[in-house]
Amino acid sequence: MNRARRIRQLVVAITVVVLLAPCVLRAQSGSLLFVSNEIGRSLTIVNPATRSVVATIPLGERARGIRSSPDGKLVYVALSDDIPMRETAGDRIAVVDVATRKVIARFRAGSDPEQFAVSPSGRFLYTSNEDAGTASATDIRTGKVIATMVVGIEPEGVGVSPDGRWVYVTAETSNSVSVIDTRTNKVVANFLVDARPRAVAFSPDGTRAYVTAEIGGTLSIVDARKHEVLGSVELERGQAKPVGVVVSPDGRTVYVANGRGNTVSIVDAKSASVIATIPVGHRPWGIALSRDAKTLYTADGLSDQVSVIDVGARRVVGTIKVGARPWGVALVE
Amino acid sequence: MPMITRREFLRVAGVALATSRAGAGIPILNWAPARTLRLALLLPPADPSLASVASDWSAGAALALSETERAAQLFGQRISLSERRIDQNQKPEDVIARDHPSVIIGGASATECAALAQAAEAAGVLFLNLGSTDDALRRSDCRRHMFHVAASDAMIDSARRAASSANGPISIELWHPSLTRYGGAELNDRYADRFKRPMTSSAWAAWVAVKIAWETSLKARSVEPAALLSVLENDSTGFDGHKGTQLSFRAWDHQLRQPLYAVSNATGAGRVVAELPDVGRNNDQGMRELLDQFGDLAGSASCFARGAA
Repeated sequence: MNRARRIRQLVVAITVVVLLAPCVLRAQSGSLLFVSNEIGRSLTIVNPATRSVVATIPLGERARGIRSSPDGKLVYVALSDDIPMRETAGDRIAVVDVATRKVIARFRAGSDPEQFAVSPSGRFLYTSNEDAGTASATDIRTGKVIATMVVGIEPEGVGVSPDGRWVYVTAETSNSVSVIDTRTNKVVANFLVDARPRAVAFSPDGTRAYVTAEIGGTLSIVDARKHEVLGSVELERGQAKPVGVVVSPDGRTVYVANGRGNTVSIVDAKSASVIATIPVGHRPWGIALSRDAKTLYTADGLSDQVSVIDVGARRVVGTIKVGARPWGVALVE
Repeated sequence: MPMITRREFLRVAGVALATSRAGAGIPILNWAPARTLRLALLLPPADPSLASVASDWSAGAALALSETERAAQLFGQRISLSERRIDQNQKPEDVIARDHPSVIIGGASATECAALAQAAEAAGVLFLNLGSTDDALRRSDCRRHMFHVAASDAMIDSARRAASSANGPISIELWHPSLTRYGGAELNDRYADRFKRPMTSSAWAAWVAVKIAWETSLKARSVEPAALLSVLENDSTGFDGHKGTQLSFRAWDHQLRQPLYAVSNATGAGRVVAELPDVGRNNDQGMRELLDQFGDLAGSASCFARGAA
C-alpha cells in the first residue's frame, strides 16, 4: 500500500467518522426533549430516559414556539423581544443543531413570532405574527420570508397538514381559523371556532384537525378536507383553558394541555368524548407525545417544570425542573 | 359531561366555499350575502368632567372597529360605526333616524341611559350601556333592549367587599393597563401603540361593546336587531373580552358577567391588587356561578326575572 493510498483511506475514514458523529451522539443519548423557557429566555435540553437536564442554551429573548425538523436534526425556537408592535432584531427563529446543541442560525419570520409549523418536506416554516395579524412563510434554505398573508386578529396557533398542502392559523381575537394553500401561499378559507383559539394539530392521515379554544373551554373537531367544523368537545365543563394539542400517531386519541386548568384531557377522536383527565403542574401549555405514544410531556409554565405522563397509567410519573416559565416542548427521537 | 356543542351553528358558519376576492386583499369565503352591521357611538354632551370618558370611548370603539372590520372581511361582511354627540340639538332619536344603527352604544349617566334606552326601544334597536353603574337601570327601569357593559353599583359593592383585605383605598375597575394575561398585554399594547396612552376602563368598555355587537351579528348571521337580541338573550352565548373567562349577559338584569379588578392607588401609579373573582384559581364551582355572586342575584332583580319565568 503506497503512502498516497494510505492517506486517501485515512481521509475517507476521518470523513466517515465526522459525518457519522452526530448519529453516534444521538444513538448514545437516545431521545432528547427540548423545552423553550419564555422568561428564562433559554432552551433546556432534557434526556427523557434519565429525566435529567443535559444542557441549557441561553437564547437572549423570550422563547416560545418550538418544533423539530422532520429529520430530527434541527430544532427551531421562536424568539421575540419585549418591544411590541414592530419587528426588531430580537424577533427571530433560532435554529439549534441537535447534534452539537448549538444555535447555528437565526432567521427572520416577521414581527413577534410566537407559534409556527415546519412543512413535512422540512423546507418551509409558517409563522404567526401576533401583533401584525399576519402569517409568514419562510424558506428555511435561504432564511428569507417568501410570503406574508393576512389572517385573523391576533394570530397564534399554526399547524400544517401531513401532506404539506394546508396550513391552519388560529386567531385569538377573531375566533377564526385561516386556511392557507401552500401551493399559492394564499388564504383560501376562514372558519369560526370557539372563543380564543390557541393551537391546532392535524391527524396523521390529514382528515381531521383539532383546535383548542382557551376561553371557550373546548376542542373543535375540523374536517380538514372541507375546512369545516364538525363539532366541539367541551373540556371540564368548559372550565379548562385548553392550549397545546397533540394527536396520537394512530389518530385515535387527542391530548390537550389545559393551561390554567392545570390538567391534560385525553379525548377519544371517534366518539368526540373525554376519556380521562390527568392533573399536572401549573399552567401546562406545550405538549409532546413520544412516537410509541406511551409518554406525554407538558411544559408546566407556572411550575417551571416538565411533567412526564405515563399514557397507559394515565398519571404523572415524574417531573423535571427546567428554566423559568417553560412554554413549549419538542421531542426528537 | 363532555358533549358535542354548537354543532349546527359551527357547521353552517364554518362552511367556506366561494373564492371571490374583496375588501383589503383578503380572499373571502362568504357564508351569507354581504351585510353591513351599523353601530352608533353616542357621546355625552360637551362637559369638561366627561371629556376624558368621551375621548376614551371614542378611542376604544375605534380600535375595536379596526379589528372587527378585518374580522368581518374574513367572512365577507362589513361593519360601520358613526360617532355623534348627544346634546340639545341632537337627540338619540335623530341619530337613529339618520344612521340606521342596529346597536347604539353610550350612556354616561343614568338619565342619559334612560333616554337612550327609550329611544332604542321605540326604534326597535339595541342599546349597550357603557358608563352608568346605576342599579335602577338593572331593576325597576330595566328595558329589554338595554344591556349593561358597565358594572352595576351592586356588583361594585360586592367586589369592594371581596377585596376588603386590600390595604388602603381601592377603586373597582373594568380594566387596567397593567393586565397581561389572556391577551391583556396584547390588547393594552395595541391600544397604547395607536393612541399613545393607557387603556382605561372606559376605553375597554367601548372596545368590548363593539366586539360584542360584531360577534353577536356573526352568531346571528344577521344585522337585524331582533336577531341580535335573540342571540344576546341566549343563555349559551359568550364573548371573550381578554379577561380569562367567557363574558355573557345575565338573563335577569341584562348585566354583563365579568371579572372586575381592585386597583390600589397607594403608590400613585395604580396597581391591580385583586381580580374579582380570581379567574386563575381552581374552583369546584363554575366561573359563571362565581360571577353571578357579584351584584344582584338571580331571582332578586325585578323585570327580567319575572319576564323569563
